[in-house]
Amino acid sequence: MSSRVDMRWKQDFPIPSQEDSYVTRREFTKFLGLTSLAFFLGTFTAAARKLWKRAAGTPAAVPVAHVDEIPVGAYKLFRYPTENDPCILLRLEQEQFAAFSQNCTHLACPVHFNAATRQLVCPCHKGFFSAQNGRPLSGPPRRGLAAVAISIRRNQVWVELSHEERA
Amino acid sequence: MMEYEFFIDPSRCIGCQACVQACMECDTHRGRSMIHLEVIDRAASTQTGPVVCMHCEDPACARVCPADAIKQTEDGIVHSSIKSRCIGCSNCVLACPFGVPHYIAEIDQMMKCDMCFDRTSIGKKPMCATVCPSQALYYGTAADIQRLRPERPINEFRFGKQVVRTKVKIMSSPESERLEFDILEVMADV
Repeated sequence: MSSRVDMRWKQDFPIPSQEDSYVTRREFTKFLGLTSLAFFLGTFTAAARKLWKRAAGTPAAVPVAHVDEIPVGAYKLFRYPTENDPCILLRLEQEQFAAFSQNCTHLACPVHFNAATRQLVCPCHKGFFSAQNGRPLSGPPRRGLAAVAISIRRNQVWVELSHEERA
Repeated sequence: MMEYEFFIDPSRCIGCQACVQACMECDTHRGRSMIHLEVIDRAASTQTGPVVCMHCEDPACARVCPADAIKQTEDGIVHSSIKSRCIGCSNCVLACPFGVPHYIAEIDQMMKCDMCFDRTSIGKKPMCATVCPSQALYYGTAADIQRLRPERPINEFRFGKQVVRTKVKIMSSPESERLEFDILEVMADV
């Protein structure tokens, strides 16, 4: 019995280098199967989370700032819809506000507002976004910043998830 | 094509350290020699003996490696540990009957003589054999050594009940077929 166990042990850890680097058809198939399964589970989990979020309903609109609180060219940071979602509210003109998720779409570093160039800048890998609409201008990011819909009611800036975000 | 083999004749060694210096020149382990130049009995004699890897047919170092880091290529050469696998446990250092593997603490890895694999695989001689002035380290064909030397090349060693066969051969008396070592006796002498 012990000698059979010994033999199996030797097969798993062969000393000759050509046997060590040899991949059997069974091992390769196992690798393909397990990798496919991992991909499937990952996709399934992502889809399930999205559905779960949608089923939970959309978060209510909330006021994040008083209009007079932010001068033109300034910004305010807030978190919406949860404490784990940092967002940035910009006042571009007297009557023009914009709000975006602060996570850079490249590797989720927080973006900063540069009022002089009217751009949102990610310092990690020099990514630039338009402050008008969140579209990527240069650098590694290829997708625009997630926009947060804004409405002004009774001198308060209210935010809610935009239609794209809700979907 | 005649196969080249490595022959060691410790009785020819003059202790010049040329092999040690030549080994240090190698690009794959620059500045560090993989050869031990052993002093046989410092008090009684000036005799020295070069120790290179004997490249066992069934290498004890690879057998005891828990990290599967020591591999033997088709030509019978037992290589240094694979860097990404070696865990620096020194099992091989303790297991080798010839005392060949080095554990290098600074890089936490075992390194050993690989018979200048980069050179011998393209038909060149190992560094040490090219510089040895007394040819205690000789790299050539079996026919050549038979023609040049009266001694007999031996590659079978007996340590107690264990028989070890090696790729590298040691020149010994024409009468002997194998070299026998009684470890306990040697230890008692020490």
